[in-house]
Amino acid sequence: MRKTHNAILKIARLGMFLAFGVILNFAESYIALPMIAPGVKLGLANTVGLIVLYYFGEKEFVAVGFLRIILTALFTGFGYNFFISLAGWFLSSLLVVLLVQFKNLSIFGLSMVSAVSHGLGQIIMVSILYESRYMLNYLPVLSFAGIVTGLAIAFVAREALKRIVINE
Amino acid sequence: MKKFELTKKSSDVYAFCALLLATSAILVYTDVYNKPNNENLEAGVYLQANRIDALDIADGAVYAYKQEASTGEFDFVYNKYQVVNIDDRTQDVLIPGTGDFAPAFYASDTALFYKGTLESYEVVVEIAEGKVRIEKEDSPHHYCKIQGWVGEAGMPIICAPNYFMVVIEEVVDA
Repeated sequence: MRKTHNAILKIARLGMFLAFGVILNFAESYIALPMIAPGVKLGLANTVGLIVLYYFGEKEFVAVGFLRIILTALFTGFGYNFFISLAGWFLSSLLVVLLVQFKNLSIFGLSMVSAVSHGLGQIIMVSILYESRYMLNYLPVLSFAGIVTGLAIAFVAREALKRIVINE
Repeated sequence: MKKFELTKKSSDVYAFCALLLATSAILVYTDVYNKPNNENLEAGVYLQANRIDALDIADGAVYAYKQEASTGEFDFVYNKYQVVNIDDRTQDVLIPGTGDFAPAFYASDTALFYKGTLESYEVVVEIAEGKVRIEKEDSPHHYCKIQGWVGEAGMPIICAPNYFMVVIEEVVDA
């Protein structure tokens, strides 16, 4: 009985975090930073990813990230943005899940790696879709922005994690 | 289940340095080895990754692209409207390919643009002094308009979410 209760609780919590991620994704489109550089985002939804990874684990982290992209695409369409997001999610999830195993990096290192690799995955996909290797010239901008936003997101996620207490 | 720690560790600093170093390395690589040949450049216009147009960047000009009635949700067709001399600003001008005359409706310091009503075009691309900008577009947050003038080859101006993109690149042989 207790086990079923916990499973339901976990599903409910993950669903809540997923919904929160979609909302953050949407809200962020209004506070994007086009003045600094086009295409640069804070990646607020990644705070949810970090919280899920912290409390639930790698499997849930990957699943919530994937479902967030699918859900966002249901609103905006399965166009080029969907494939670009998918590439970013794939590379950043792969690296974060890999690096978490070593237990060397804290939330700051993981968030930085996640943000930079997300940009890298996106640029690779854009280069493939647009069949232009000159798209790679934009990578340094995205990658540097990823370091800065990754650190910022780590601070936000850490403050959130201090306040959100989930008892297993 | 705590998957990682919340306090900074020494390996975070190493990761920071490694990422900064990698960024610098990519910057040097792209700046030295991945630049188009600057002698022979044009502005490529893309829609949904399809190259729909190539614009000469030597002379100042304004081009507008209009979204035709789409055949599907993500299937756009943009028409290029040609540019006439700035002296004809106040006159009715010939619409290419139709034989009809229409009043000019858009003018800038470098060129004049004509045909149709204000509602009938979505994207206006302006070229001056080897630089390109998107003067007007219909994306919700106007990122590509805010980006302004771009003279650097390989630096894309991308309008999301309508997938309209302008980038200065090497001349592509048709």
